[in-house]
Amino acid sequence: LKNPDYPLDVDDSLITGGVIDSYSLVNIAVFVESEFGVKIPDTDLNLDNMDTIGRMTARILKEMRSDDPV
Amino acid sequence: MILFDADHYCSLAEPLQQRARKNPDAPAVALLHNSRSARILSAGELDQAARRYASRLKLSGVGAGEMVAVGLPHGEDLLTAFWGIIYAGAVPSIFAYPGPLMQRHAYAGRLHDFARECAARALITTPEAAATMPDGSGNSCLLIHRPLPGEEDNRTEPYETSCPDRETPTYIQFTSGTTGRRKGAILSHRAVLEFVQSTITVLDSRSEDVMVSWMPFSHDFGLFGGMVFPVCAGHLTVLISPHHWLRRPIIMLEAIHDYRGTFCLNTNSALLHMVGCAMDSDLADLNLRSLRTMIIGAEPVLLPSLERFTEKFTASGLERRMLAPAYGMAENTLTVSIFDHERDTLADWVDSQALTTHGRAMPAQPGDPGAIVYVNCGQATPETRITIRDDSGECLPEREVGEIFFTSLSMFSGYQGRAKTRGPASEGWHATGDLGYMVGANLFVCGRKTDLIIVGGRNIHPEDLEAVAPGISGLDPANTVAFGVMDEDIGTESVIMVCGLSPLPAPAERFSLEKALRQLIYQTFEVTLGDVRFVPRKWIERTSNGKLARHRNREKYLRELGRSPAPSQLPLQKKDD
Repeated sequence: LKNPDYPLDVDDSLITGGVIDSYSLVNIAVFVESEFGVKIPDTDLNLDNMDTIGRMTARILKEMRSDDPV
Repeated sequence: MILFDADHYCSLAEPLQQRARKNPDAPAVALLHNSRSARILSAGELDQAARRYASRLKLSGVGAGEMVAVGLPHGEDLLTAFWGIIYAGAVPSIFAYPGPLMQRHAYAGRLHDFARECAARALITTPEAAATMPDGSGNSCLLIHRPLPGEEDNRTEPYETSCPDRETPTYIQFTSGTTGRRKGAILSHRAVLEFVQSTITVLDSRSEDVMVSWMPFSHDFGLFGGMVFPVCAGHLTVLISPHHWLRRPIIMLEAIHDYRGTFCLNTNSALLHMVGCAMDSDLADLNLRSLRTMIIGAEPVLLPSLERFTEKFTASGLERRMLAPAYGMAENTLTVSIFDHERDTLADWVDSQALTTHGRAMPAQPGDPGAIVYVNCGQATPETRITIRDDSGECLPEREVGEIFFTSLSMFSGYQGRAKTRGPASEGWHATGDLGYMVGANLFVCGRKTDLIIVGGRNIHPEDLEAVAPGISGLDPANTVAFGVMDEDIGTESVIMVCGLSPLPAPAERFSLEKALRQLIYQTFEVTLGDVRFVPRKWIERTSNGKLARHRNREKYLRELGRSPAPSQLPLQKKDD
């Protein structure tokens, strides 16, 4: 998807909605890792956790919080 | 070089059986999953596992010569099932298994349809997929899953080696596509054994060589290149789960480092995925100096992709001489031609004007106006001959563009379930549908006669994509066209759909139609569209007999974006338009 005007909701399916392919999703995970220092474990990089912007954000935030010192 | 005489064997099972007899404890396969640790199987263990599997298949009712469809995830079970079926003298065909980033709910149904379409005697899958398999009414196929008959009480029938006719099928390699468009290339024992012998010669294969592969067994590149060849030739092969590779592609380079890999396989787009995902920290200790040949194929190979990959990993010891672009297809078991850096020149710059106007690849200098570059796919493998022919079947001289034909000893015997005329063309030559030219003995592939789209090595028929349009209210099925556009950023084709509608709907409605189309295309084919365009109906280009002229629609689409067609998509062939 290369159209910046494409109206994407937080609950829209990215992979199963045919918006981005699995290579692009992995690139997002790599970006998150290098930008925020957050690594999504390989086993969690699945449709349940990553298929919408909402779920993806929740998963990343969860990982960031777990990295915070208590 | 290893000594391997294809004529010495009567079945594909024999090279592994012989290896297990001579050197049972040497590691044959290392299955890498989620870390740098691996499950290693020796030749003896793989042989024993295949024998047990074969005898249990016999208990299940599968006989020699019968076809067995296999839908299992990448791993030991799939490896054992493949060799077990080969040992049983039956004929496997592997159907791709979905990864964690793919939808699974539709898998059982698709696998079931596949088994029925290829008239399989048995279908081997996971207990989970078997549990959701549609009702088998009208289907006499045996459904087999773990535990296999005799597995729980360790009951076996004694395994007996057999010596089938070498010309009988040993594997059926299906291309992707929907029912009716999917073609199953039948490969005989002889063809695959000849492929092994020819690959040993081409790669100057030595006993200490190590293959590293992430390609799936459902693809001929992964099955024959990554697994069957090294197992039969006596190498260790390090096999990486394709889904794990997708998530962390650097694992392939780490495996080359850890196992001192000498051979590996990649597609053009895979090279760029590795470049994009490798972090500096991954490269710190990486050593690729053991590598001799990285075979790159399954889709057009682009010079900028090779350059970006080499640049990224030079400090780790990667050299351009290690990269070997290749041309191949299931109809020749795998390889038709392969580049050899000691013999061949990697790039050929030609004048695009002479190419499109006269179908002639006239040499040009890099930087000349209109100069474009093609990557050398090297010379024909031993026992393969290549010719370039015009539409009347006449052989063309050097640098003239025409259809690529080949004939060889590792050639397929025909397509399953189709009349013989649809198999290898007359006089034993196969018309590939690809366009190319020769320079000396070197093959350059420069286009395709058909509208087939190839994404990362996977074949997609535009007709299939267009056929979903009636499922979306608001689209005009007669004016919906699909085509592939080479995207150098990702190193493969991007799938584009253009929808002709008059009057053109308002933007909000266009987006909701696009959403519906993207979703339906993904759910039906697992294809992600690169772009969807809405245009007035009269925009759509047609042939003189009213059919969609896909390549002309592609040129128009690119023109409107201010882009030129990629060298692999120039209009080279006069068509009915």
